[in-house]
Amino acid sequence: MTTRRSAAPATAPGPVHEGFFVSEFLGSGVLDVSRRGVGRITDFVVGTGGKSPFPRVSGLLLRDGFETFVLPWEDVAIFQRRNVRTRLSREDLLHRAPHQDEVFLAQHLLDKQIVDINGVKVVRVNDLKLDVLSGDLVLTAADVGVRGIVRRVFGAGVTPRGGRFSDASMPARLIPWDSMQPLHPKLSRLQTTLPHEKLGRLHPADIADVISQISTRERTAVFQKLDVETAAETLHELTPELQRELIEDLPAPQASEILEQMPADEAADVLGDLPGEQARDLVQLMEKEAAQDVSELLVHDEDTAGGLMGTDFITFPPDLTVGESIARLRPIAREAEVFFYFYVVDEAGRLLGVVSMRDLLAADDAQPLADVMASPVRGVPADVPAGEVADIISKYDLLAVPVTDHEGALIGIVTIDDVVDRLRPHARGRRRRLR
Amino acid sequence: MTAAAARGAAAEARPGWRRRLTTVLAILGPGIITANVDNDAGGIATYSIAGAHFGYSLLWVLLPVTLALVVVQEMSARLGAVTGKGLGELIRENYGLRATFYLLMALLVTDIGNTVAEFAGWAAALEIFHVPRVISVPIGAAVVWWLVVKGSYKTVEKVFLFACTIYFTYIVSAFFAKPQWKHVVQQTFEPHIESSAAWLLMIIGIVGTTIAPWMQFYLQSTIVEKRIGPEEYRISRWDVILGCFFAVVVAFFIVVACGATLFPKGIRIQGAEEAALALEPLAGRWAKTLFAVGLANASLFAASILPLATAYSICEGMGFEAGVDKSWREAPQFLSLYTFMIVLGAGIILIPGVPLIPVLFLSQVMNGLLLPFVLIFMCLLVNRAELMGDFVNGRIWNVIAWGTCVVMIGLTLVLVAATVWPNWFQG
Repeated sequence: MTTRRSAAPATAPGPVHEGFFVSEFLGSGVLDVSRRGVGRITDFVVGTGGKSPFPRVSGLLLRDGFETFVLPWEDVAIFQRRNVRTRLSREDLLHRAPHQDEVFLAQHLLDKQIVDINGVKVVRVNDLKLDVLSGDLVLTAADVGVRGIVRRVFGAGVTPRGGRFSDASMPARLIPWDSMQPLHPKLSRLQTTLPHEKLGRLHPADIADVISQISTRERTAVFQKLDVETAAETLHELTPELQRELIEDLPAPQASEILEQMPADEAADVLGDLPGEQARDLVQLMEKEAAQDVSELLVHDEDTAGGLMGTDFITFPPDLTVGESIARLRPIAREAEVFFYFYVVDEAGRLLGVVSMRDLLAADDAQPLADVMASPVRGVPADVPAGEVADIISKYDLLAVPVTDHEGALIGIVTIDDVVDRLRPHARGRRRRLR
Repeated sequence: MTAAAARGAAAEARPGWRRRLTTVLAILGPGIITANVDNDAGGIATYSIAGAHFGYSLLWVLLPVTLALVVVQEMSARLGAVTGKGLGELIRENYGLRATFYLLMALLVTDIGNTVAEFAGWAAALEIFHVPRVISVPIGAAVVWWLVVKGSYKTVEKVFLFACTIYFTYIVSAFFAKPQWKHVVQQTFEPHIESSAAWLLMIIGIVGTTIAPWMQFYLQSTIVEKRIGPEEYRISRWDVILGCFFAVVVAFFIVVACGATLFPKGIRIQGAEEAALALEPLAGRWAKTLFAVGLANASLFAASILPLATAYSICEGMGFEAGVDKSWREAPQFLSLYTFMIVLGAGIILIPGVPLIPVLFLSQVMNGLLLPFVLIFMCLLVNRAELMGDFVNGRIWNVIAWGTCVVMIGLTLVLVAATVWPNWFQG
């Protein structure tokens, strides 16, 4: 890496270039072309545009007395530990004030929290690793290990690479750029060829875990950047307080869009915890059909069958044949949320019987559903307490229980998932807590 | 939109007063609990010594201390509510790793001192019941460790909190002792300054025990943990202020009770036996028992919070995983720090010949020495507009907070001078 290209600075000598750490340069002096000091490095400016997969350092932020200015990376002649020089002269530099909205490595990333995408954990950045790639200084990894702490606190001298402190005694924990998600809103402006939004790669339950570990402001920023579908699934995994907090912080159109994306029963759960007026406004912004489904669910107390149930279920008339019903199921198979029981209802919507997926596959195509279905089915009234519903599901080993109104019409189903969610809410164990 | 109308009606039916009351109850607590833990073994010892050795002459100190306590605690709570972050985290994010590291190391040392003090209190209380400390201290340490890591601490916390009503006996006892109230009131409002190293130590100890550094970390963490945001904070602030007053009222009456009973007889507090005499006007021959139960409760209560809060703050600042629900593999630093503090704290008490009451008192002086440094960071943070927005400190708050820093640093410097050149202060 000692090749001296026209615009590229000379970097660390030696056969193997192991990269730099930001902490090794913060505070070190910079000399100009005639070896006069021009100031000390206080930060690294990161360029926002870039065709490289990594964020590129566009300049060094220097301070001399009360003066702060930017030394562009192109004008750095030598960049080594304790030896940084510019090809410019002191006078050339003094007027280059930094922009207000520039992104800085030390200010916006060092000591802040990031998400370790592979470990699904929120961690704190102890140091930042820089490497030279084809003449550019780029950010390649964050050091989140104890070695980074020691380097920061006691100086670089304590951990000479390959020196007395072996890797085994003090492991460096590096998280490469492509598997870290910075949380500071400003960092989202960094554009690299790798997508910035890495959080979306995680399972919604893991995103919920991460989100419940970070502070309010960052949480909203992170959540807002998820796509609607992921946001909807993530929201469902969060605790009620967090759901409320996030929905209240989002702009109303965005919030209603996310709610629309959720199954009606989950959306109703979220809305039920909001102040009345706000919930009403959000429902009004929702698409008509979704709004109606949610509204119907919201009249039930949340600790009853009605409060637990979803409205996404599939019904057939009794005279339909098995073959016809399978043909009808095929196109909706991908979309439907609940796909193991199908309900047979009369014209008035009254529940006649239930057919399982297994029954359908096992039966003869020509048979009418009326012959295949299990009947009679006892639906539970909407006002039955949640605990009783759980008992029924557990006692009869069911996957779902139909909920009926006082005329016996099917109005929803409570799945075993709904019950489990109620009994063991997620994202509880990982909230920030003392105990 | 009939559907929307129906849903609106339902939404109004759902929350209502019951939820609002639950919200209030959920928010109440951090301030009250912090205040009660504030009157821990070290606190009781310090206030008792203040009353026994100096009579009512230090009562006036409690007025400015109350003011400072309210301001400082309110700042902690506000920092937590607005930023949603703990104090360790905030210092780390804004002032870098090195400053955080040294501050947290100082906190660790001080809090190990405080933990020692809690076990000293526990040992002293049980010695009244003739239980030798070689038996009481290991049992106390094991109970605390187990309670917090494995047990249901939350339930036990209520027992601790309820047992804190024992503090009220000091109020009653102070009245039974028939102090000269005219004298008490006069000394409360009339500043009185001495120039001796003992007096200086006493003042630093009183401030240090009342406004202990760990409290700021602990209070802010609980505010964050309870997810108290800027809106709920309006209610939460009263919880904090109420807690402060409770803490100081108890302190006041401990001083009065000791000032009325021990000071006139010239009794120096060397052990729990003497300190217990302050409750004699109320409890007669049961004074020792009453005092021992109160002290034992205060000690265990604080011993279950202090090492935990310290380990938590340190891990939060250094970026280690923390939480008692984590396994050793998930949070090795946190659990080893926590265990280390308890083992060391209890271990020091087991060294033969360690005098309990002086240990209690000196740990509080350490608090007083560390306080200004923590306070400086808090003042800087709470005044950052990019962090706090409209919730930055007002001018009066700043004057009081910075004033406390200056006074405490001044007192520390004078104390150092008094230790190095003792002759100066003999006059």
